[in-house]
Amino acid sequence: MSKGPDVFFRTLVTPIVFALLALGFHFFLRGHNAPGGGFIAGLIVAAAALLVRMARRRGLLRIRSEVLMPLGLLVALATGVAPMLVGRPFLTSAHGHVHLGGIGSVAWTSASLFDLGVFLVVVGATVTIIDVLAEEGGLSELREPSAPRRTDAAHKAPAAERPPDEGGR
Amino acid sequence: MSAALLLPLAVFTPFAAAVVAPALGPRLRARSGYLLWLAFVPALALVRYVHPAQLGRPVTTSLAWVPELGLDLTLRADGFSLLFALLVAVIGVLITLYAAAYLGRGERHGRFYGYLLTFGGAMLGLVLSDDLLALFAFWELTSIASFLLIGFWDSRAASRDGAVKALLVTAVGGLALLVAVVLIGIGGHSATLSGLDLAALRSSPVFAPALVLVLVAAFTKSAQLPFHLWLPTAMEAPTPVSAFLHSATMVKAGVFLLAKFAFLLTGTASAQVAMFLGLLTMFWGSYLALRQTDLKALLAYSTVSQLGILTAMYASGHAHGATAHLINHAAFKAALFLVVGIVDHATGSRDIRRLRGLGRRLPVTAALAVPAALSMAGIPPFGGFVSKEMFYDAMRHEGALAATIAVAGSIMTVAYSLRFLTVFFGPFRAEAPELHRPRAAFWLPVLPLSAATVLFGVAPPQATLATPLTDLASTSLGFHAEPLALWHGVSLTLALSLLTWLAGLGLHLVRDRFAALQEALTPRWNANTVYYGLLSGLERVAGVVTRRTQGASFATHLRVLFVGVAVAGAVCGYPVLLPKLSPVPVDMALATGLVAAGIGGTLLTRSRLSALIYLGLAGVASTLIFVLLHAPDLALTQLLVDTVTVILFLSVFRFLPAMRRYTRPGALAVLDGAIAAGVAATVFSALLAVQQPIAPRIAPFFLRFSAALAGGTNVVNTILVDFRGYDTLGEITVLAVAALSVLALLRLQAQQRSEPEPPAEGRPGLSAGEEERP
Repeated sequence: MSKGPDVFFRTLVTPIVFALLALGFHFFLRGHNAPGGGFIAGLIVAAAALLVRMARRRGLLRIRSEVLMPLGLLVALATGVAPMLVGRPFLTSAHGHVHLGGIGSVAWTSASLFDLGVFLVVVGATVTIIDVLAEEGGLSELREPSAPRRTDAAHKAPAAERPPDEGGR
Repeated sequence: MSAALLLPLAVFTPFAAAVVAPALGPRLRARSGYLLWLAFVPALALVRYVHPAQLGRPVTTSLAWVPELGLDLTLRADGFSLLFALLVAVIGVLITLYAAAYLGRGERHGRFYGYLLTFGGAMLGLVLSDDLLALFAFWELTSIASFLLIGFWDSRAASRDGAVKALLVTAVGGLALLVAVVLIGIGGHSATLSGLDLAALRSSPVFAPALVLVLVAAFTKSAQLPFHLWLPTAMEAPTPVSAFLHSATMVKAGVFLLAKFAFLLTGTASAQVAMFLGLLTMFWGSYLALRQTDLKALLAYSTVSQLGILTAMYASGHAHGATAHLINHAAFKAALFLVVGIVDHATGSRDIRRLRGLGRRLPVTAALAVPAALSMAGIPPFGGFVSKEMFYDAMRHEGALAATIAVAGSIMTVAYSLRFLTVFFGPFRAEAPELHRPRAAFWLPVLPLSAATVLFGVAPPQATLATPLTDLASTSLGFHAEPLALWHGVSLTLALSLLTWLAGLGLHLVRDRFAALQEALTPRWNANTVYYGLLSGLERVAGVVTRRTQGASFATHLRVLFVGVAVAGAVCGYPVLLPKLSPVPVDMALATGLVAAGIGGTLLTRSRLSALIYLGLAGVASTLIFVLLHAPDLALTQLLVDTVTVILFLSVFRFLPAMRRYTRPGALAVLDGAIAAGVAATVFSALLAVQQPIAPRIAPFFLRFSAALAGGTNVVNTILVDFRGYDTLGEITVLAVAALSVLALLRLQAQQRSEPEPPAEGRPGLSAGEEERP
């Protein structure tokens, strides 16, 4: 690809992605009481990741996205196992209010932690598929032209354009 | 030993021995038989229940079989079962001993004894089980053992053919029996034979079909017309097997069934039909036996004929004489088969035309054969005469026609019995001039059988076990015992017997001319031609069906499948469900129209890019439907999934090959359209069916308790992460696995692509052996 993405697109992507991430956060938090939740929030973040891919031709995250999946599963599983430690059945939920002195109180539920696990798995799965399609699947539009293929160092990417700090991604 | 232990032991010891037999086979070879006959000892021990005090007091024991299903294996030795069990045990012992002398060195002894003992156990189980399903299971097991034993010499095409024929014919009966026992169980409100409510069974609507099915099962197993064809070809089995399974015991399983159900049969039209079929079988079997030139084939057709006698007598309710004849037949027929085995071994031939005067060279064998053959002919003072008289009495009772057929068949029986004996008399003639005389081990097992044919005739009634056994057996079947006696006084029956002997002798004297007549009268088709015709017809139909359905193109395949789906829906779904439709709101109709437009556009467009856009349209329209249904969570999810999918697809579709259009003729397009519409209607009614409430709706529960139990007011979310958290845990696991699979697949592919191309000749790092591979 000789020509990069449109400059307007590249410029606009940053605020849009921030807006999307904030939206995702919002949807995640309110999920228990209003439309939203871990699954939807995860998909919003995935959309943001896709935008970053298209504009900047690199990933949204600095860590390997596939790590998020086992992490999310662990969080969900831990939420399930925790009640067993106090003699309750697997996945028993608890909820209540935390009183914050004079300011008011915040409702909490253990299910939100489970939802966090769902969120992490969804983000991990979608972003992994996007990343791997971009890097290994030959989708050069979504790959930084300079970035080497992780498994194919000798491939067509010209070595001279490769920035020295991009090796980790 | 108590009955609770003895009955199961009697049934299961042969099975246990069958497991041991293959281990003994390679070491002891044929001699394993001298050890393995012990497996029948527990069954022999059942003889202790044979005394008058046991009348009306059957021995019963019950074992838990599949307790989870409430299935018990109930064993019950009433008089008739006892008789059969002892028959199986005695003949089983003698056959096992005989086989030890009969089998050559090169045989697969372990396998032979394994099959034989499996059969013995199955047969004992069959006659002793009270449980209807166990009865069926053992019944089938005897068929399978019979199949394995007929095909024992599996390198011979005739053996294989005989085995398959026997299995196919008896399997038909097995299926009939399965349905019959289920029907009888339903109609008689019991899973056991002894527990059946007979009055309820007789008045139930399943009675008639059950009765017919029982008859089919009995007729196939006992080789009665028109199912007699399998028995003669079953003679490809080793001779001990023919003696044990195909004359003395297994083929009598059908008669056993008939006798057990005789109390149901008496007085019905089926009984008349069964009796006449039995008589015809008796006549036809004798007629065919007279034609045979192979000693074993003669005995085979004779067995068909004799089983006809038993069928006719049990079906017409003359259980006592039938039981007496059953014992006699087992004795003389087993003896004769074993004699043929000895003759075959000594001369290498079984051809009646080539064997003469064997009595001079094989005097012991001849001495054993003569009483047995005369007993078969019904000549006094042998056992066969006693029961033949009872047969005549019974048939006279059933009318002139029945008596005529009986006498005609019996005349031919005398003739073929005499023909059998010709091989022992006259000047000596045989294929092999060097006769090797049978060892004592060979003829000793025949001795008790031959002796029995004499004893049953001449011994005082109580001296042999025959009388108490017969009494016990017929009373347990619900019939009166009559005295067994050689001399009944001067009567019409005796006159008929005299006629039979004289006519039989006359027929024997003109046998050559009669054989020519039979030759001239050979029918153009018989049961065998029908069997092979059916078989090849079946193969042709299967071929046509397979070619039409399996060999077709993928498109035709799909059409067949989908027509099935559409028809199923039209038959089961539409009539019930479509009337329940209610009018669709306008906004919903519009949204659905948008979805349809998206799908239609996707299908019709020629460019992949427009197809993708149409697909997006369909997705967004589905989102709209969710919004209209007040499901914001679903709408959000649908929108996001659709967006991400379309973008991802956009980025990969450049790599897909160009779209091709497939055209089809107009008529086919109409047909496919109709099929598609039918399938759509089926799917639609299936979805509608899912909507039908079959239980109280669960939604109100979630709405009511979501806040209290899960601390959240978004029910969709509380269901996902709390109420049905287990499901969600499973789903996210699947999601993670799927994503990891994509990762692994693509990354592995990329790695393979990036590997340097190996040079054409000789890859470095491979061993020499691998280099050789193409």
